[in-house]
Amino acid sequence: MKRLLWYITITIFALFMIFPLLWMISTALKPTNEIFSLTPSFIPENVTFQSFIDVIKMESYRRYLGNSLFVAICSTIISVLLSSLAGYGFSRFYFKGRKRLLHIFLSAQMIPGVILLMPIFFIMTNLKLMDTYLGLILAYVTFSLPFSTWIMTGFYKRIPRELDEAAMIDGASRFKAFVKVVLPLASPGMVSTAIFSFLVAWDEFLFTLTLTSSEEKRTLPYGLYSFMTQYGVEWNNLMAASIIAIIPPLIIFLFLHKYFLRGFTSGALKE
Amino acid sequence: MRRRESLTGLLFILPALLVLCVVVFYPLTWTFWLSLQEKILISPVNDQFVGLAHFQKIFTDANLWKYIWITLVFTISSVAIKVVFGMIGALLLHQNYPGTKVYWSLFTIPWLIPSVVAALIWRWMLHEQFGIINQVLISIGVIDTQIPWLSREFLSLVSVIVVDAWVGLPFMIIVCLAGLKTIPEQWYEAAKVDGANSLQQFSNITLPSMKTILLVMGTLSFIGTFNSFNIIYTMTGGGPINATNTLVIYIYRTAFTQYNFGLASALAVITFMIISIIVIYYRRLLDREGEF
Amino acid sequence: MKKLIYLLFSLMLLLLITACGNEETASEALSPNESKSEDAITSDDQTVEEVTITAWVMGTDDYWRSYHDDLVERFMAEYPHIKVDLDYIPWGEGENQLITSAANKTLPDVSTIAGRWTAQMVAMEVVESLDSYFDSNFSNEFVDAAWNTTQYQDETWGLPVGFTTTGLFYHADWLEEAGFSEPPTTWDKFLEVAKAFTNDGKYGFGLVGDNSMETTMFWAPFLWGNGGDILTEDMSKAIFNSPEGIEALQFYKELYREASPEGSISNRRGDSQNLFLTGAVGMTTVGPWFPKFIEDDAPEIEYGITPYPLKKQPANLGTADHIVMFNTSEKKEAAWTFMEFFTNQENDLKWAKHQGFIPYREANLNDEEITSNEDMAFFLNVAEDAISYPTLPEWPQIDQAIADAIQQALIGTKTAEDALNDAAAIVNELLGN
Repeated sequence: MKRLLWYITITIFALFMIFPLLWMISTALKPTNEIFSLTPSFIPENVTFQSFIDVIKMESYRRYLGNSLFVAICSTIISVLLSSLAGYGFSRFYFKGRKRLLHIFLSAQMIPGVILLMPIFFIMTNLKLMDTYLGLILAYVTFSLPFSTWIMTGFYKRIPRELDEAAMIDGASRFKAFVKVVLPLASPGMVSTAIFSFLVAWDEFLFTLTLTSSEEKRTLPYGLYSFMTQYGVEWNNLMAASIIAIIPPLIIFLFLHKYFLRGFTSGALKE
Repeated sequence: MRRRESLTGLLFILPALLVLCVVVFYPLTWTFWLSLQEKILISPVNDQFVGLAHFQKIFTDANLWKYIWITLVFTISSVAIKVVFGMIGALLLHQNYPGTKVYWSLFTIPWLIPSVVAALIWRWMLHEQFGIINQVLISIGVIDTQIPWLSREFLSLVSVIVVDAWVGLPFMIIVCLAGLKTIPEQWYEAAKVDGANSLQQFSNITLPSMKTILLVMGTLSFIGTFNSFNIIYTMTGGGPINATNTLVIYIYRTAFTQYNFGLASALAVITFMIISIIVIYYRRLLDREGEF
Repeated sequence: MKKLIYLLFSLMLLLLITACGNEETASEALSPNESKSEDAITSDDQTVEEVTITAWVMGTDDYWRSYHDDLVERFMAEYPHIKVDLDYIPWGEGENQLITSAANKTLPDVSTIAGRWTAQMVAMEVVESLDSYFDSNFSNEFVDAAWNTTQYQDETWGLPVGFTTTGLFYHADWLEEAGFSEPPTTWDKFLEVAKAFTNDGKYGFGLVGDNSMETTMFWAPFLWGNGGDILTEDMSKAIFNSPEGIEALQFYKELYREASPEGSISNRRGDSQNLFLTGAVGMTTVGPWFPKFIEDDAPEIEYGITPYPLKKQPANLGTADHIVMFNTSEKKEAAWTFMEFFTNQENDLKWAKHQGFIPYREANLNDEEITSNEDMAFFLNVAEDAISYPTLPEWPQIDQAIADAIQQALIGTKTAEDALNDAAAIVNELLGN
């Protein structure tokens, strides 16, 4: 009885969560003339993969995809690198003002992008970084860096200090001890920060809207947004394009969700 | 020696700090400075220092309070939905029935959809004539005429709240579930021996153990939702007649449809103050829970 | 860890695929041009210095992309020493992109632009005045109505690249079923027909009421048709809140309340067109590109086109898109060559046939194919009643203020009179009085 109740509740819940996704797939499989219907049906009358083919054939779409991958991967690498370093600094060295500095780091995560948008717009202009990958990457790194640093700090704290000290007694330098001994142990934390950073960059819309002007640099969210044209929206193509856009994060998540959960729970939350 | 130690520590932090300075802290001071300037992109000849004129204008304008109110309603409702349903979802998944894993993935997949895309799909589903939601609701008899979800002031606010909650829910569920898994099974067994029913178990064991997680996630989610741009911009653009005009959207529209960077910066400064209050509260919370 | 390596590998692969895809097409696009330029160098004695100009085109859908890709390819074949870097900007973000790029000095050499934005860009002092580039006869080759939209403060700031007028599309079979023998010509008749169409989940009129300039576009002809205007002749003061204007808005509101879907508040032109195509609304106002959409998406529709119903005088909205050169350009010569090519007689005709816009070159007005096409002929005929928006830098903001007022009146938070008066106050402040 209890089990039945559980199944009913969780199914309803799951249906709510998954419904838009199903509708997305259904729309993507419909031919154009079925899209605008006053009695929309859930199951397409004629299933076609045409919109997927059309979208993949679109040069601009492939470019959005490539740009997003490139920008997201680059900012992920940089963010993981910097936060691994900074997290180590925060967890191992008790210098004056450490706590305050960590607070400052964290509060950086909480400032809405839109507040920084206008000055960044001018700064990027002055640095000649408008409409460049570097400008986007720089912006995206900062969106994930504070939180990533926090996760890493928590992670290092769980690795006994005696380990690096032992390595240093054996004659390794501080940095070497960090790279050879501590870093490998912190790899699950790095994976969580990597996933976090990737998703942040993959999802970002406001800055790509403002900092890019040419199609060559446009990332996916802006690209997909521009499927809304002055004549309306080709929903089947947009949905096909969106489904393809979910694949990269999906792959990452399928492979790495265990690391992510472990990293997140032990780094960000106390057990 | 100690001095050297802290220097090494700073050296590890320095690269990250540098990046944050360039892209966050330096621009932030610039925002403050801009808020004292007349700067309208489309009429560059009028650029000049105007002091607190923008603030004066904003505070005498009744609309600011309306938009703050909309922002708060939007944020608090969305966070409440996320926390309550996130907890419910996690409790549902914290079972060992066959199929739990499948449900787990169904719950988390929406998290991977870019929020712009999520907003576009919902906008499409909520369409008065072509939308599947009206179609479904009519066919099961809940409503008898099509509802223009995004065309009535109150309904459109409700719609963006629900969609924002939907987008944020998976992550909340994942974290809550992870939290539930840390509660030792023995506690429940001990409670059962003492004759506590499920409700008592929930309020005496689950809830107290989850308190920290819920508070931290609630606050984090509050800030995230407060800053939410993509969903509202894509679904309604702040309309109809500013019914979904949150502060973030308001700033963006002032800056990029009126091109009034000075005024928008002044709004940004005010928003920053509001956020700061929340952040200070959050910091206290962390301190009290002994996070550092 | 093994998993991690797989993951990295698959991501790299994905990246590689998209990268290759891009390169392939890029080199494809380049190759005809390259071979041509080699020809040029070997056949001509004097070698011309190669230049590259950047050009933006507003519009990201297939129709616009395919036409402009082809145009640029033909241009580069004809002028091998000029290479054109083309970029497509969504219409919705176009104004934004132009202004922010103007502010940070990253404008392209040339760009297409909506006519209603041109004066604003001129006021930012980034547009090149074109009068020195052509002789006095040049302007006579263009249709006056289109050419005039490029004039501001007695100078020419752009060339027309697209000209449209608007008409009322209706489902002819609905009209017959409802017992009308002819399409509505007056406001009263229009409302009557629209009401007759409205039942059983169907509506009379596909109205646009979202808070964008498309709402102003829909409403303005009602204002003009009632003898009103947006600004005074010298463009110093708002007069859309005149009794005529208030009456026009009240009529628009009545249409909304009585004969349009409630969701029109968030509908744009594209939405109302789709409602028409699926048979959810019986009438809507659209420009000359629409017959082609009907043919493509819903060929079974029996439609008719008729002028905007009138109250006092015939009126419809004429809009022009321009191509402009920015004064930041360092390759003005090449840019002008491109603009001239873009708007030459052949391309005007091609665009008219490709997209259904009406020709902006006098010589094409008598083209056989266009005059013999019934729909085209209609849009050409109503051109004489077409009214364009006033050309002034503040226009985009005026446009927005009017759209907001219309929306407020439609939803009912303000009366038509209050909404227009409030908007007029905003506009008058913008205009400096």
